[in-house]
Amino acid sequence: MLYYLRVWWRLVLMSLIREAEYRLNFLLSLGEGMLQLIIAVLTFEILYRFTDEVAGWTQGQMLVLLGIYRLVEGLVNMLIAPNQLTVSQLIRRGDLDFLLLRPIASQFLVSTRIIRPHEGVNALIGLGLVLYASPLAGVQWQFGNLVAAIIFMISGILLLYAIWFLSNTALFWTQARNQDQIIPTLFQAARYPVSFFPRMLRIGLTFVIPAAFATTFPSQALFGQITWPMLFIGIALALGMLLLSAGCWVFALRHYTSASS
Amino acid sequence: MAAITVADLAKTYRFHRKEEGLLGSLKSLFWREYLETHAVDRISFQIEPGEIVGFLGPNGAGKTTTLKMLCGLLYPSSGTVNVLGHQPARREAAFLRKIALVMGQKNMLWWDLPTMDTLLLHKEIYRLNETEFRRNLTRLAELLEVEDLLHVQVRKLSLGERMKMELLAALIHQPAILFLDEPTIGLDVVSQQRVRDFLRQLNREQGTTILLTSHYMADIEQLCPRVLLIDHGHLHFDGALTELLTKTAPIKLLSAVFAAPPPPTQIAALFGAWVQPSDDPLHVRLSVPREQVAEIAGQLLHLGNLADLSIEDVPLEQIFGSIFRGQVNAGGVA
Amino acid sequence: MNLRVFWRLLLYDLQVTLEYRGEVLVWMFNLVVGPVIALLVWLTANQQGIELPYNRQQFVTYYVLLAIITMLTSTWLGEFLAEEIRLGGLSHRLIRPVPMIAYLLANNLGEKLIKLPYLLPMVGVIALFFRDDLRMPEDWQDWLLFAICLPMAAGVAFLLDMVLGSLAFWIDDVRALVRMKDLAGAFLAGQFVPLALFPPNLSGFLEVQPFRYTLSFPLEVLTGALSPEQLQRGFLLQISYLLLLWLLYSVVWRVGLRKFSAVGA
Repeated sequence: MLYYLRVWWRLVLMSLIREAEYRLNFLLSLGEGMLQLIIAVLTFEILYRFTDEVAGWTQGQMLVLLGIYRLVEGLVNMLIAPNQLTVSQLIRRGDLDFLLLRPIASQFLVSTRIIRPHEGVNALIGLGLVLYASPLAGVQWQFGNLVAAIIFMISGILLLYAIWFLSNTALFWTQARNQDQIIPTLFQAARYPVSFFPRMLRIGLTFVIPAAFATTFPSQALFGQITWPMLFIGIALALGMLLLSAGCWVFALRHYTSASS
Repeated sequence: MAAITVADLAKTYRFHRKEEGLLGSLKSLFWREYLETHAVDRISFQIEPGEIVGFLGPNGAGKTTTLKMLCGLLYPSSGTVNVLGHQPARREAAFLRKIALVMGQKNMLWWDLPTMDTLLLHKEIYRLNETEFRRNLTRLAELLEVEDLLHVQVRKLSLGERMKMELLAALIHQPAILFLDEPTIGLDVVSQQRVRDFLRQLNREQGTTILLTSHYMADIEQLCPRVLLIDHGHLHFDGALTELLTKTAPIKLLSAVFAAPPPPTQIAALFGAWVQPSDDPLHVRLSVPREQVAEIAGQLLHLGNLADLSIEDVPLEQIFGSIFRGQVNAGGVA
Repeated sequence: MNLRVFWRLLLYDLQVTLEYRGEVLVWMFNLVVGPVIALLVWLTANQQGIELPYNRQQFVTYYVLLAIITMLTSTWLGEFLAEEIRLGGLSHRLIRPVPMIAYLLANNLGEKLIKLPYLLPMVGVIALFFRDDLRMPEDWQDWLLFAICLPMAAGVAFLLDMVLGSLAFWIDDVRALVRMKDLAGAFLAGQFVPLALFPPNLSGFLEVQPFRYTLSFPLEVLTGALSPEQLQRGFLLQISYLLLLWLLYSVVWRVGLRKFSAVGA
């Protein structure tokens, strides 16, 4: 609904204003992001010294995948991570109360209130890497491939959000404040194509931690190898998980004890 | 039609107890003892629109828990709550648009931004059109005297200014009910007074129903014609403040200052048990039953050389302190 | 400084960290994820038949042990120290009868002590899974050498962190420096890829650069990959770095403290 868009846009503006305050942090994050990317690229340099392809992936293709990973990671860190990583704080400090009292879906507000625009730059750098490596990887820039890649990435991101938010609803009961870090840590596996991992793990990396949807399938789509069934499964799964996460949230709020004064 | 109706409301919590020290921490690694506590234990009351009601009680009494159940933040363990025709726990948008909550020492305002930005966010969330928004903003900013501070970052404001901004942000959508949890805590005396004056004016001009919890007797005295006394989850008293005072404090304090010291024997003979200790021979303090105040005052006058005479209520803190310590029965609601 | 005071500080940190046992569990889990992912990737390459400087056993041993040794040599208080200096909180610490570095060391060791019982079982499970390929040293000499160079590695890492943190006496925001050091240092210490896999023309540089001695060197000693000459050189370099950093820290701290007190914080 337009209403949610308007509220979200206001949140974006507020985040932009706030970020303008902390320019040093912006540069710092940018620097860290660049360094992480360089280290990742160097790691692949080391790996591909010994061979031309690993599990069917050439170095060029790996760089495209890495670029997509960076792009997805940047988007997640911009829109999703800052909120998911502070849910436990909201609950503990009682600031959740204010959010619950607004006449707007609390899940929406909790999940979108913080935006980090500077992470968008990291996302763009990832995109840059994709463009740079695309000739090396033999990327076929056709409309169909591009659309499929984008759909895969969006499914992956939505799935990641849903699973992350769902697991965070457990924070109402558990003590460990940093359990919201488990999912993003496991998501690191998305740096690599799922075929780099043993068969048993591939299912987990497709449906539990949506690494495949986020990076492997989009990359393959760009190479012209679209896994069609997965495209539709991804969309359906994402919608289903979103509904499930909403249900868990409502359930958790029933048991909310609210920090007392 | 009552604004708020509460019947047999209750809220029970489970928690585990932890012992202190290294050994205690280790022990709780393996074995935890769970306890139950009745934060609110079957409370019933009704509040009409336009009332200002105070919730009084010691820490942990259940006032804040009750308040949060009225807002819809907590699900009641049992009993019913009806606020403005809604069940708060359902948190319907229509209901949430009619209420507001302000908590002392907790900010809803975005810390790094000017208040105005949070207000604009609320404008979107509460679906206010430009006219309503500007009108409410101007009126509230004027009442609270904060027109110049709207574009100052919240973290740069003083505590008193911040509380005024919190009130502004809470009231921008013209709620029918305003819930306040310890609104004046931590504020300086001047700010406290300003807040009270503002709330009175708000209630008078807008007819906003106001519920507040507070430790400060001054808040209660100045704002709340009606109080609910809550302790250990029970409602001990529900009624007019003056009634409470009459019931619990049938005593008034008389303070007489004489130009020349009255003979102590005469004082003792006339007033006996009512005499309170005093270091100043010119100053006589008496603690007198209400019905006899006029007569005693007359007798004091009669002694001659009376320079000053004042008749005061026992301080509220003392009264409530003794109620909560169980020394005095407040009567009222069981 | 009193040993009893140090012990009390250690105990206090221990208790505080015990409070957060859920957090520690999650934390340690996060620590093993990285090495496991990397190991799986290398094993895939290995299984494919690619010629690598490490065989399967060496990869497994390296990455299984990596998490533990990374944790035991980790250091994180450089940023904290920098903030204390920058915001002036240092003044409060200086009044206490405990030198700042002892306080930080106690915190560092205390936390490691509490993390270990959470980390070991997890690594144990992974080790069990890969037990066929795990190659622990058989000679007690290797273990002895490891026992010596591990605390030294922790010392090198700790002191480097302290030196950088102390730069806050002169530089306003040392965070960027510390974070870059953390990232680049981790890479050069072999935390992502074993140093043996780097291009051979870099091996000379990699052998002598200080970050090797914060993590890679103890690992290399434990996996028995070093010749006696290499061991000798390594230990010499590690001791040298330790002494050098200790000296550097002492000087930097003394000079910085003088400046700090002169300015009146």
